[in-house]
Amino acid sequence: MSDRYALGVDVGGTFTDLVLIRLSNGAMTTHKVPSTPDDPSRAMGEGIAELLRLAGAAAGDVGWFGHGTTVATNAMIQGRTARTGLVTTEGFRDTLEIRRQRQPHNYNIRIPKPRPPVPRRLRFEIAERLFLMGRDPVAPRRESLDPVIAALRAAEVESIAICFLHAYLDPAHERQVAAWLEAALPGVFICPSHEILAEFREYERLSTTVLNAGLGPVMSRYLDRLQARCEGLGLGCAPHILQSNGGVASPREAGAKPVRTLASGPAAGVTGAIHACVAAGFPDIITFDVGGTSLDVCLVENGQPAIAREKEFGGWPVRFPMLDVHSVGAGGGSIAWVDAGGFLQVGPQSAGAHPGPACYDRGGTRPTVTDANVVLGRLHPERLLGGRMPIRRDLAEKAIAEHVAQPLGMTVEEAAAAILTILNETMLRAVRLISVEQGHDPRRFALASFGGGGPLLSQALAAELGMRTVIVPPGPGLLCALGLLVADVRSDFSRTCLLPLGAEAMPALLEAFAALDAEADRWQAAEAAAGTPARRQRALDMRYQGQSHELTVPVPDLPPAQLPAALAEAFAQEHARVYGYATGAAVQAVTARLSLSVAVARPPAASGDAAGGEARIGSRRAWFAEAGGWTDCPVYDRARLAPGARLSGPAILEQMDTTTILHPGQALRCDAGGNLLIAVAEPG
Amino acid sequence: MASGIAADRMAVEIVAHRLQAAAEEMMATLVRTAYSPNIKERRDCSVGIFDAKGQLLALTAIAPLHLSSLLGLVAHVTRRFPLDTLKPGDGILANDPYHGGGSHLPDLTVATPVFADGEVVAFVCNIAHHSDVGGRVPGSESADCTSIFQEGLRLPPVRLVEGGEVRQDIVEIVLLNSRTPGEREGDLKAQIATNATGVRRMQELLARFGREATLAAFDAILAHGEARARAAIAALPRGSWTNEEIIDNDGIAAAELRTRVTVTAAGDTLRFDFSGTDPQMRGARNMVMGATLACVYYAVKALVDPDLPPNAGTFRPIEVIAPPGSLLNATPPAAVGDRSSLGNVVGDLIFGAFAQAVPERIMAGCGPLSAMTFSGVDPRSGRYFVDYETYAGAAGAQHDQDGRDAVRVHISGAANLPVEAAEHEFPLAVLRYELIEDSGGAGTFRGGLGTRRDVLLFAEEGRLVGRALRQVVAPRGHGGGHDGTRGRFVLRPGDDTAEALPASFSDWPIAPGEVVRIETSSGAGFGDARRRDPALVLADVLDGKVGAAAARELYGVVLRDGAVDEAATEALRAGVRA
Repeated sequence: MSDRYALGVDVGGTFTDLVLIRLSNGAMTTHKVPSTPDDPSRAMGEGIAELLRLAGAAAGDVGWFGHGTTVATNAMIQGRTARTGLVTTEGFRDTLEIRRQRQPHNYNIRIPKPRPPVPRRLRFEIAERLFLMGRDPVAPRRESLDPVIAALRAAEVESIAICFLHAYLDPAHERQVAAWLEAALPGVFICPSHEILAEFREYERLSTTVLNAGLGPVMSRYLDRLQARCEGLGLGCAPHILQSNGGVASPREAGAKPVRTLASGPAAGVTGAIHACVAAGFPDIITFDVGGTSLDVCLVENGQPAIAREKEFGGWPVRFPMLDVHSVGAGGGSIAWVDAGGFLQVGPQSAGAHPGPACYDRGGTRPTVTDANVVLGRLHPERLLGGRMPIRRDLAEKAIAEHVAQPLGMTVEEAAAAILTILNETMLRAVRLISVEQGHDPRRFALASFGGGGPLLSQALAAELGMRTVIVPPGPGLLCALGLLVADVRSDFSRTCLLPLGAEAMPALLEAFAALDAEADRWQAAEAAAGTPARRQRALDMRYQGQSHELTVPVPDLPPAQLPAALAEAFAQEHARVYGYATGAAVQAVTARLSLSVAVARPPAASGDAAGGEARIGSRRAWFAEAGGWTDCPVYDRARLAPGARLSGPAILEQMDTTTILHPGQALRCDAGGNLLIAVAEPG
Repeated sequence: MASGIAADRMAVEIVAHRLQAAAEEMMATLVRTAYSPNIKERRDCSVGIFDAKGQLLALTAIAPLHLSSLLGLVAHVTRRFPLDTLKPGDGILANDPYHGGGSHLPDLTVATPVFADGEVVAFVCNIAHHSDVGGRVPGSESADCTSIFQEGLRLPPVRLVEGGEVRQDIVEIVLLNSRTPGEREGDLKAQIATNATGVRRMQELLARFGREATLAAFDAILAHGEARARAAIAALPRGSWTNEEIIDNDGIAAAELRTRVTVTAAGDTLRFDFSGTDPQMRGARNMVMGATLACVYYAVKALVDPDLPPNAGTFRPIEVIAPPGSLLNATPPAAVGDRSSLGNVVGDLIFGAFAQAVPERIMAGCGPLSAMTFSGVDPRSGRYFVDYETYAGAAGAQHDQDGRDAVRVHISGAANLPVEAAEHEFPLAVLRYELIEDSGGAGTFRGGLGTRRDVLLFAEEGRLVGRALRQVVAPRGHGGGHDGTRGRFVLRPGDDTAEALPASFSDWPIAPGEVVRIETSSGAGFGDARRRDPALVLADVLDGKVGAAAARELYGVVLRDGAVDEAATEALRAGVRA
């Protein structure tokens, strides 16, 4: 193979991370540029040009481009979605506002309901209905659309969601109305619910469809600009966009279903961590990604990340398979404070990047987790980010003294250690939520630690949970960009069928899967080069008759006659595993699922070759309770740590984008891929 | 070197976090291992951890009202089984509101002692709402029961688990008394497993910190809750404020029953005196003292500080007085099954008292839920079915925001069933489910809109059970704001034969092909409607939440060509004021 390259670009709020890998030998070039939030494609275009120059590569030799973007997420947060209308079944225009009738909060009556993404005046009803019994269907009539079209045109909507009751069973009415609207309102983005989510439960399907409609024009405009820049640069391929399911999709697909990218931010890190940890021999991991304001955790078993079927964005449910990443407001910027009863609290408020921790000297006076780490000598007392950012330890000390140590009657060091202790309790609960509370024993998993703050905090947490190993992959920025490069092209298809599981219903069930296969065939023809190997996984959501939520079970490759019994058995086993029991009750097949992945060319494992020079670069005083307080602690430059190197704690390893702490009694080994493997001792 | 004081202080806070984590893990275990949809999917269950004296240390509750079935539990358990008679591996079951610390019979509670050095140091407890515990009606919850003996199986504290072994004789009593015994057995097992998880976590805590330090931490945690509550209460204005609310239905027929509260804030304490409340009613909407306490604690959190930790220390500065034998401190044999209907109005009662002191923290009167149960034979399968549903009313307006449309209010929190799911499950079609235009009480800030639902029933031998409050007395507006609207039930709406149904009824026949309409009550307004920003009135008119006539008559806003006619509006508003 000649010099072919794969490119990964992860656009964050502050920085855009870029990585280029030479596919023949895995050689990696990285680059980081400030993001340009007004048009993120600008920083990308410039960054890519510089990256290619750094690597000495030609744009035409880039054969794969994986891209992570928060364009959809930011549009949601900032309310910059497109003006959207809704056409729905008569009697149901308020489903979007009635929601599931819950209060936003049990006790805090000041929290309002989120503002509906389509105001009531742009939600229109037409006479149309499918009945499941007792009455004939009511077909939509073209004339009934006339006033609706006039109103939508007058309102200058950019997109229209169509959501009819029971459209997942029979989409004919939605299709007919979509065709009429397309003809009458050319250029408007039309989104029928059965195309976005062919599943029952009208509120969740409607919410997902409406959000998608509002995001479509925003995402399409961005992707158009991005593709123009790629063409301008002469890149040999189009960008593939990371989705919340951990797979990537073409610009066409991402523009049609932008709602599927809403949770893609944390997915890049998880995908990258899986790639790095599986290669290092750890298929069972819990990812631990600590940024400035939040902690993201995800459980990965046998290389497969846990999947959530529904999440809320800005208070609105979105349903389809997503990596089950749980976030809590606990990060480096989390603010420590003493409550009215005299207890120390950490977070959920964060100092963010502005004003930031007190030690940044940007006007922040309240103590943060980062300030605690500076005071305890775990972070460099004078500068961060590989020396690029000067900091002031005295300001960190002052903030902690004033807001924590004095009110609690502690020394500043004790107060700083207490901040980390309380933060650790919050983080423990997050990890227990995705492991213990789902029936998984965290001691069977390794902790994959990344993000700017992960490796500072993960070792104390792992010890408390009885986890044996912490893995720190080579670089946090690198990990996300790497995740973009190795993510499969993936899409998920589903269709609610609601059938009794048994021989009689098999033809209908097989028909549902055949329909999904046909849909997947069309998708594959458009999205993947002919002949590329693809993997199809069929699954079925099932429940006992009368239950109102489902478990997803893979569908085995068996002749139809054997399927009902095999599926019932698989469901019973899964029910027993998750819920602790199974019964002889009748089983219902609820939703047929198919996920299709097309693997991309994966780069060979990067070598962990060290930069030259002595790894030990000095020492400084650091405070560890288990060492009885201040102790002299060797400091290493991680970039110079050679594969096979071993260290024992206490020790501090610095690198540009993070600092790894080795506590007293812990041992570290650098593996061939440059990962740090830390053996964590049980809590004393 | 860490000083002893700092280490002790951190131990207390770690214990506090671990207790809460244990309660959350117990809750996850209960939801995960429960059998019935009511617990598994609607999460009608809660978990509490108590010290040996029965003081609440940590709580995980989905609905604020659940606390009512936990608060008195340990006291009743230890009255029947003094601490020195309990043994490791015991688990105590109870549900009776009068002898078991419960608040209505479907809430079965299990309390399990935690031992250290041979002595009880704590109890881990959980409550689960079992969907049937016998009695007169399916579901064991009907507003027209007139005695607790009609409401189902009554259990004083009994040993359900002894020395780690489940007592099958006790389980059989529960099963024999339930219409759905299969679910009951699975749910009881989940409740036992839940407490086993809790005991394990408590023992880890005791092993890590030692008995003395752990018990000292319990006391410090309660002292912390108390200090926070006292600090928050001290920030309230001092004074004494009285309010009354009328209960417009006693479960059997229209009625006019009075509830009354006098709230007194003195320094860092709060007193709630419900003297003057009418004697308990003949129907099933009475509350035992535990339920009244749960309503008070909900209101204090909502009005004083939503972040107050839910523990017995927080409750210490709060005194509650309710006359025995009254609606709010019922005595045997009063029926209590439908206590939640009354509880929502008690929310308005307390908020109305605080409105006189801190109007910026309250909601004006709220529209509570309405409930309807559909039963009959499904012609598709020939099987008998029961579909129990509750429909949201709406919240009252606040001093700076409109009331929330179509939400559950105050102490209740359950979700609705999707229309598409209901139509698959039961022989019915929902013809409309919408906000009721012009229903929100007018005000500077508008009350939330109630909901309307039309249900077409295809069932044979169809029967309806309905229950609602606020079909006679509307939720009250605040500061000149208009009242909310009343709810109603209508059979065959829009037809010549349309028939208004009462606010509480059972066994009402409905023929196949007939429609029943449920309209819930709505939220009341806050402040003078003629001071409402005309732009907000216009937005409501464009959204069809307020009609043009109401805009002119109630809000004094004149609209012309889809915009506010400012001159005409000013003239109209000035004319009315003059």
